[in-house]
Amino acid sequence: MSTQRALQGEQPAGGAVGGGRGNIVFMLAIVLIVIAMFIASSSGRSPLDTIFINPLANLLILFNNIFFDDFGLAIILFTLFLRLLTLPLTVRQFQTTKAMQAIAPKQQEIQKKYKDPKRRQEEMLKLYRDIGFNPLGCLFPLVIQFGVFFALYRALIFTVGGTPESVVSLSQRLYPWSYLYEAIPLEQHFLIWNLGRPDSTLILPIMVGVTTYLQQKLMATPPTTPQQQQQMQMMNWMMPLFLVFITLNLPSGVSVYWVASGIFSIVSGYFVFGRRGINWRQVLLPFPPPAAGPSRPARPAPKPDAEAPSNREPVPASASTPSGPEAAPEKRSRHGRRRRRGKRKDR
Amino acid sequence: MIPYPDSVARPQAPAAPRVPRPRPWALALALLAGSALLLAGCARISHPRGWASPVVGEKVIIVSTGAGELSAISRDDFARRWRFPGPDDDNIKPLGIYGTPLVTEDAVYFGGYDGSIYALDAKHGRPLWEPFETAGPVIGGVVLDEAIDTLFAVSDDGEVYGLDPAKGRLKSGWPFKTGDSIWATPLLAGGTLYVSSLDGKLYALDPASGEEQWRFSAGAGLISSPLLEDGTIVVSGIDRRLYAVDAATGDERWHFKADNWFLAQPLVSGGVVYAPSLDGSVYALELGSGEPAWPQPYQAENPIRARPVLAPGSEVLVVVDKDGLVYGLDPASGSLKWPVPLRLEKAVLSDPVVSEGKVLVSAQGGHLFQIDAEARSFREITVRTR
Repeated sequence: MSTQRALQGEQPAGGAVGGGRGNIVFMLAIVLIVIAMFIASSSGRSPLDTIFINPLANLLILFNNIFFDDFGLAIILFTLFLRLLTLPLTVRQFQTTKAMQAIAPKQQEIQKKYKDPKRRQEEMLKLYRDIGFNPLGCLFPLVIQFGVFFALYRALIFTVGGTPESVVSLSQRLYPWSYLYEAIPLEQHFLIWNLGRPDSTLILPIMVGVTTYLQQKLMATPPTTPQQQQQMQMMNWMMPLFLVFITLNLPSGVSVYWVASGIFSIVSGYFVFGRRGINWRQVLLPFPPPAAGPSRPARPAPKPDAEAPSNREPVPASASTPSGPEAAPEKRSRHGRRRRRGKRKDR
Repeated sequence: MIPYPDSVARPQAPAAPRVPRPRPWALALALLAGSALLLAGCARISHPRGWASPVVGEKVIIVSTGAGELSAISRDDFARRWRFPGPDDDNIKPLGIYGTPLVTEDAVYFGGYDGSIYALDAKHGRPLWEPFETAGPVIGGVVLDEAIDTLFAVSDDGEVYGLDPAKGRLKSGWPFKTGDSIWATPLLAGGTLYVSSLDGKLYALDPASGEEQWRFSAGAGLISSPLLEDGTIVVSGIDRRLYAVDAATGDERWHFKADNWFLAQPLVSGGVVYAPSLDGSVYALELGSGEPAWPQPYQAENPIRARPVLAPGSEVLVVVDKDGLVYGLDPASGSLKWPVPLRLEKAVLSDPVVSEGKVLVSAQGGHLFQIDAEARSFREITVRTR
């Protein structure tokens, strides 16, 4: 059975996980951004400001005006709005994760079978091609999320910077609409936080760390080698810590955005994977169970022709079903014991 | 050449000395750490710097020489006489000074972005009393009513405070609460205290009792300090309008709309209001009617936050924009009198003042410039430390 045929049943609805269409959209978006930046710079304006920061600042103020002059609420609702707009990309990212988890045994098999790195890479690429996996498909939502994160940071400096100087700067960024002008200066307080200042209570940076950690665990694609697993485990810690460190110095409004965005990702992950598709225990555990630890070798593929994933439901790495790659070693050990006992009986 | 099948072992090459391979996770760690440092460096919150304009006294110039720092500079040799906070004032951080300091014979009063009202000994710059704390940053300046011996201060907390200038204590009948933040220096004129608030109202208060006499409601929050000329109060709002209000009744006389905010207080001279805007234009309007006095507004290269001044003896309206370009305009027509603007090459947000026939400009970062309007030249004043 070919790999393609084997994986056909695991392809998410709507075709390939990230095919040529995804590439075209991504490239088109980049081309459009480059053209817009070129136009903006030729008119003597800062392209970054014209294309990203100013529209974002104006949109935020518009949300603030619509939603009861509460800028914290405006940031949260703006985040939801943005995440809903990019929901197809997010869902595709989750589906890619699912598909990657499903082909994990096959990847491990390739790792074992082909010692020549070049050949191994070719086989891997073939496998990705067969299931229509597109690395750019994964990258696009992340690029958007990080882009918004930094543009929002810049926009917040002007909108809730709070100082009279920031009001002078903001005056040059507002679109000529009285509805926007009259909202200034914005209310800076939201719950216990001043949105224009870093959070001295540390609550928001910790929430940023926790949501990032959970998001990563939920989106993790299964490692194919112990080395990869080690890297992934390190990244699971490094990324949240990195963001905690960064948000310690950023206006609280940016942290509110990041937390809201993280919660949205976790909730949408819940809906994509399904309630039973997520092993919350594994997601919440800081370290994977010993069976899946980095020191253990990856599960050997039973037989090359088994094409294991073909008839199974795709599940995330954290899934509790036996086909989940992280759950696999546990199953193997029990199964292995039975086998050995059986052999003894034969003797 | 026949390729080796994967199952067949290849002939081994002679063992090469083992070179440690760079670990990908170490690379990722280094990248993350590098990005964290870079971002932490770039993560700059908007810090208050202040835009207090200098005050020229009999012997000294009181000027903000940095964020939250006030200095007294000798007019003779530009030597610094004192600086506040001084080396011993570790716990005092005014953060940024926006309102023009009030200088009397004995004292200097000002408000800081830290929310405190300060009173300093004019001779040595030492605090006269414990700073009076408000519940929000102080952006507006202070005014003194010598007749009733009351110092008036406003705060972002929306309150108007009446203080005893000798002790810094709140007087009875005060504070007066408005509906929103106050960013503008109040105006004390004709026995009335006028306060413009971001709640969109201009309040006329009795300085003695703190009672409200009348209020004018604009369409949006008021941001500029009110000024009074010929019975008309001129004040601007965040709806980009300049309002003229009858000082006796609080009725609106006219309003004029620009493309951006009038953040600076206008200059009124000869029955004409010269109002600079953040849209980069200087508008000249008839005080009585609000009709344009120039054929067209003068368009500068950058937004203007600083109030224009009339240079002494040369009939030149000196306008300084945000990027430090100084324009010499004809006050009658609004046309350029100087062929090219002077370039201070420093950001200017504070109001220039006239001193000894020259125009004194305090730029961001504590730079002080002296402009000679007649010679169309300028020089930077170097403050000497003793």
